[in-house]
Amino acid sequence: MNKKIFSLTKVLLKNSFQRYDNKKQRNKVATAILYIIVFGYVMALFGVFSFQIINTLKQINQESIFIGMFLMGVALFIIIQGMVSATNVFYFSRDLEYILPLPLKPREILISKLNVILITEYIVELLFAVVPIIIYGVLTAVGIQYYIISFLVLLIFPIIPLIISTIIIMIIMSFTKGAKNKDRFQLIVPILGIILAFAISFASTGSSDISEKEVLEKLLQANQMVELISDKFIILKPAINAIINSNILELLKLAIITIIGYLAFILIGSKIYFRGAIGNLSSGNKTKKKIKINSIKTRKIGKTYVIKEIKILFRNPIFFVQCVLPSVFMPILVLGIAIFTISSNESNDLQAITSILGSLVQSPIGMAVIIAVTEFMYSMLYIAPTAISRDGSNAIFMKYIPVSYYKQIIYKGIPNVIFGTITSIIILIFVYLVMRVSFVFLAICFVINLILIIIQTLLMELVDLKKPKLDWSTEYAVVKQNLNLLWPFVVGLLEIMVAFVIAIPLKNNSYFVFAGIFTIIHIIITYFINRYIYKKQNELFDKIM
Amino acid sequence: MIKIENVSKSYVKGKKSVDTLDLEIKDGEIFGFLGPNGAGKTTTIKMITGILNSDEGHILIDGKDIKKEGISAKKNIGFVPDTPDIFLKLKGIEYLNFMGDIYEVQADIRKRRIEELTKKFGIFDNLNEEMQSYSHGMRQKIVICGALLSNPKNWILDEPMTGLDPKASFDLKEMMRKHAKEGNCVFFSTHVLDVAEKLCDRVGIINKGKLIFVGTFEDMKAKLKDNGSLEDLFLEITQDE
Ligand SMILES: Nc1ncnc2c1ncn2[C@@H]1O[C@H](COP(=O)(O)OP(=O)(O)OP(=O)(O)O)[C@@H](O)[C@H]1O
Ligand SMILES: [Mg+2]
Repeated sequence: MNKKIFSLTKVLLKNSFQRYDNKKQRNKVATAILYIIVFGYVMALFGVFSFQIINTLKQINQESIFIGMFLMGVALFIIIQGMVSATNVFYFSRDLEYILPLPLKPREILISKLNVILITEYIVELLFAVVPIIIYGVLTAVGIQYYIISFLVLLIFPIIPLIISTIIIMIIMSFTKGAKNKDRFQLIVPILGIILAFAISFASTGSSDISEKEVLEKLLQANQMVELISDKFIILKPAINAIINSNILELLKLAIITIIGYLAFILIGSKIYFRGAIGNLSSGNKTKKKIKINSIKTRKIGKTYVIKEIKILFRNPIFFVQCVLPSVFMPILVLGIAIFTISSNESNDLQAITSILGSLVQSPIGMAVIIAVTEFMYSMLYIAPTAISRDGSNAIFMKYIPVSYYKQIIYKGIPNVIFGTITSIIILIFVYLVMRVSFVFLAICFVINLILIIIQTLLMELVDLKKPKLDWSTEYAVVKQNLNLLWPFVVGLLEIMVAFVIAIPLKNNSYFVFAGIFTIIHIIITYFINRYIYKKQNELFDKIM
Repeated sequence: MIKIENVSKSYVKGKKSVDTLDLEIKDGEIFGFLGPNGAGKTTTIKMITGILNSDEGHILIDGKDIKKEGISAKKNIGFVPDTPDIFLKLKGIEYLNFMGDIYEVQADIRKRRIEELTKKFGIFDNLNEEMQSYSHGMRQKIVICGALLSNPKNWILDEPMTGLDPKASFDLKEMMRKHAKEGNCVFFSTHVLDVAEKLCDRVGIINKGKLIFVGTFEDMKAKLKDNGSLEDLFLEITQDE
């Protein structure tokens, strides 16, 4: 790799992993610990999962099937993840205006940008791929060359899937002129990803009646799919064979195909990338639509303020994807799969289960469980904890308009309450569909959830007011590496604890008793938080100047 | 009328960015606030508009204390900040209409004013675009339009001319004159002495947080002759341009 490419890669990489060096050491340590816990958890999860599959397959001496499925999973994951990264690194990083004037060949820019994504993928592989490979090695007791070859395969293998997704994005961008409405375009990829993930999990759930025989059958079926695809997807076969048989020749084959693909990418890429991306720089595509001054509507202050908040949230894809989408999509995803799993059982069982679950859940403990699920989803809703920070340097606007700070806190919280309530409704619909609970029960849950989201909203706005992050130039700074966003989790956990602490002693009572106590406590809490905000409104805005 | 009574502010303990400032801007007057970079102009303006709390002293807008009766004081202020950071994701028209709602401008007056102001600044045809696509000068213009929409009595503008083209700058000056002539109050900060000379009824010079001169531009020139340090400061300000 020549020196220019190396240093450009370095710069781009730094840019995409923007660190805030001025942050306190303590925060860094906390972040590091958090990452280690999450990474460790994910790695362990994949380890256990692979262990079980390989063990099952071993019973019929078909453990090598695992490698095929594993590599296909890696490829699929990289293609999806690659599309997201490619969109960001190639099109929305806004660095091209600085890079283009430099004395660099198009090819060098292209390679550097691909390198950045590739390095991200290697980190992903480290997370998901290394543990399964090691477990396979241990369980099948192979020699050292297995590990060496597997390592090399993991290095080479991601390149082709990555190139494929990058080319796909480049083609989409140059045809749809995605740059024109790049805000909307930026939404497409994550939504596509979620839908795809949804589809895959639907396809893979099927029956939940887990007898080993059926699992084996399923695995064998999956293997047939792998074989079918590997005929089309030419790097899969050599990669599989290289790992299973520790075959250097196959590894070479994989390397050669990859090199050819790489060269083709540079050729195609330098043709279509710069054409599309340079058009992207002149983002001011003027759709000269004259306004009709008479169509202006007047609104009340509160309404106009909330509408403004929601408009900005929706038009800013980064904020929308990070602050709103998770808490709305997650319940659909998780509960959808759960329902599908249950309903794919035989219908007789289903009815029995429904009625059993229904009577089980209509109890203090059942209500606490629903509260727990809802709180968990609420803790992914980042509208309130970024309510002030999202305004950035424009936050002083709040201070010079003639609207009281207290009212503005309320207005800024309303979108959070609205989307939290949508989440709550989705959850309650699922509860109804699966367990056929009574409407009274649903209504009470709805009210409790509403109070909870109001408390959560007010508290999170306080968090944001205490430590607002106003000095940013890209929206990512608000949603990434913002330790304030740990607080929704903390409050969520606390609320879950409170729910169970109240529910467990009452477990033999009717759920009305639980709901009554829980609601009264929380109304009192809301009252005091509200009073605090009202009394301290001026001091609370001291950080904004 | 803007009344600033012995106002002080320090961001860092022991270092006053604004030091016992005493100033009154009467109705019908255009007041220019001059001073080198870091003198405390923006800090003063932020205190007048309620963005910053003063450590000492009072600020009255038409007799209303900005700290105690903030809301009703702010209703009578049209403020243009030094950087036109606005809600870039809103369309120009949405922003102006939003400001109209916030300052409770009646529908028919609002329509007329929006059309008038934006046509004057030549951004009427851009109103249907997101402000993200606006140039720096256009953003400055729309912020000015938003601030003046409700025709507030007191205009407070922090370096409003920067980024404006000569025509817009001229138009804004005309508007300021007209506004003052109608018995209102205009307070703005600037580095451009030429503007201060031609436009202002009175000027104030601030340096290191201290107000070192208040009076007409002619007074200032006369005083410059026999005051060496003021002359140095004068040169410092002029050299900025
Ligand atoms: N947020 C802040 N924190 C700490 N000190 C500040 C802050 N803002 C301003 N200062 C200090 O206060 C003093 C006055 O700054 P101010 O912004 O009022 O100057 P200015 O007259 O508006 O200058 P300019 O002509 O550059 O706009 C400066 O010394 C500055 O360093
Ligand atoms: Mg200033």
